[in-house]
Amino acid sequence: MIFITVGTQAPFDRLIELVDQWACHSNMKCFAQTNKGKYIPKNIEHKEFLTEQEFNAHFNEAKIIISHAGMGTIISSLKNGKILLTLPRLAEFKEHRNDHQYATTKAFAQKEYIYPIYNESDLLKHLNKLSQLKCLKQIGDHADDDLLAFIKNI
Amino acid sequence: MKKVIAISSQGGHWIQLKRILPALEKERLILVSTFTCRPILPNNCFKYYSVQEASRWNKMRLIKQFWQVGKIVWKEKPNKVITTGAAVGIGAIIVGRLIGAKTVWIDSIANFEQLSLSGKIAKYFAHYHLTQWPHLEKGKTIYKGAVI
Repeated sequence: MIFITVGTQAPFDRLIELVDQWACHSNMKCFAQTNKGKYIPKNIEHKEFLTEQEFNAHFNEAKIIISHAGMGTIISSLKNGKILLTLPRLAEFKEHRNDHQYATTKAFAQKEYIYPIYNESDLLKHLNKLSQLKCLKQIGDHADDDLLAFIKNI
Repeated sequence: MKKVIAISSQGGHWIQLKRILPALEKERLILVSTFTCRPILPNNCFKYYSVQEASRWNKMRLIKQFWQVGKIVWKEKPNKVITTGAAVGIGAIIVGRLIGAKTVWIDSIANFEQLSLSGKIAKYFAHYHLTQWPHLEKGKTIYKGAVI
């Protein structure tokens, strides 16, 4: 199952539309959390907002997460061994106030934590070889030991 | 046992905050965030407060949030205040300093190219000002590791 999530702060039609268009040609089960977008998906199940329980249920069931480059989703996905594809929100499309999600995506892609998507062809490239995708990096339950030690000693 | 307030807005900031809580296991931990529904709290959490959600676009909410956070910190008189942002952490740091707490700002790992706006403001007030990216270390802003 693929779980698509755009977070709680703003809609992200570009992402939902990209996946919905792809889903038209696929029989992979998808579920999208859309956050009041204008674009209504035609090929995938969707809901604007999810309760924490609903979110967890979809998240746990999914093998693949496609999302905006929000740190919440990125950290949860890496912690739970999910395959993660992220499309950064861009200021030019009024998807965020600035382009920090683009920088986050680039940084995490460079460290090989995630599969970055910058446009439709990136998405298709990855989704067309689904079976080869894997969770690129699994992280532990807490911050790294150096940071924890520093905080403890303050 | 020291009293610690750990505070952040909901979403990614909260998920980062939860990842540093093992460092506070032996303290009396008070959590503060902006959820409308009470979140799932870690076992070592002694008390939880909810405050107004706000962003830089809504000044009235920001003022209300600042007031609520200030009152909590003033009343609880913690020994330490720790935040992973965003705006909600600034008030906690300022009032934390006033009451003599040690104050720690950890800028979100999402800020790879530059510090967040809140982080830049918090830099004036926090005792310890941390970035999660080594290349952003500058002056008072130090790198001591990351939440992942």
